Amino acid sequence: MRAFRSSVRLLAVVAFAIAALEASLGVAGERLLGAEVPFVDPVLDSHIRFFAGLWIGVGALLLVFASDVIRYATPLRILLGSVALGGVGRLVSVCLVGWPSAIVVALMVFELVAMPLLLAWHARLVRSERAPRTT
Amino acid sequence: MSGLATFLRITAPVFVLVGALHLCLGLNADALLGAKLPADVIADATLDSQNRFYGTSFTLYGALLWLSASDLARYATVLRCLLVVFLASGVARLVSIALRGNPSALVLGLMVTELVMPAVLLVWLARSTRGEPPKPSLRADERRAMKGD
Repeated sequence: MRAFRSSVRLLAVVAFAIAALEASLGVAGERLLGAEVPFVDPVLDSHIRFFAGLWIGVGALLLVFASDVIRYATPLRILLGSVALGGVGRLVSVCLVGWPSAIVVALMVFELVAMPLLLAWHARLVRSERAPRTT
Repeated sequence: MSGLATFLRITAPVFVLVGALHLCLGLNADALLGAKLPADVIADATLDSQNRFYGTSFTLYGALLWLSASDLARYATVLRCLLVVFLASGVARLVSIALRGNPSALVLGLMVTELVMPAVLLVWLARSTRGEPPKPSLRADERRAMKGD
């Protein structure tokens, strides 16, 4: 249980770090990830900062959920599932537009592999916590 | 209480719709909002990947709003977090204006909504849950199990 909570907190720190970078840098943050954007469009910049701001929220929610992974079992599942869904969004992008930078590919692999693993780990923990205990 | 829950249930599908739009259109969804992006920027795979990722995972907010509406007392903390984050994200748009200039009128409209609606909903939530005892969130056997942790 403790190891799972620590993993969720670690994920929160990663979400905070990436989101803070993009929220503070906007389009320039995308350049750091390998995007080639020669100019800054205010709408694009606004959108990147907005989505990054929401990801700071993902970090905050992960910290809340890590405090009690049984109580918040359903929202935690939804959150982890949505990150995996974001990875599927990246796969669609690969199919339609092509391969992004290596760091973004690594993020995609992490989203598609680590999230299902965390979900399976969480499901096992919930099952063991809810199973009647024999003393 | 039920008025707020109904409002959240009406709002939640909008987030799923926006997520689906980004999943299907990528950066062209931003173009719909008034972004003036040349073809080579729209074809940038890294930017497109980031856009589809953020857009698709945005559906999280719709799912969590829907879940919160199912039991406002139990998920009050989650809902408060969501609303505060929305407010903060609206502020992030203000930062963008300060640094990069005004976006399209549509995005300005979105920003006003993001700054006003969370504040209104936070007050609504506080009034709805005022005086209500915290709802037990765990079954008795779950609480016993937690004590044994």
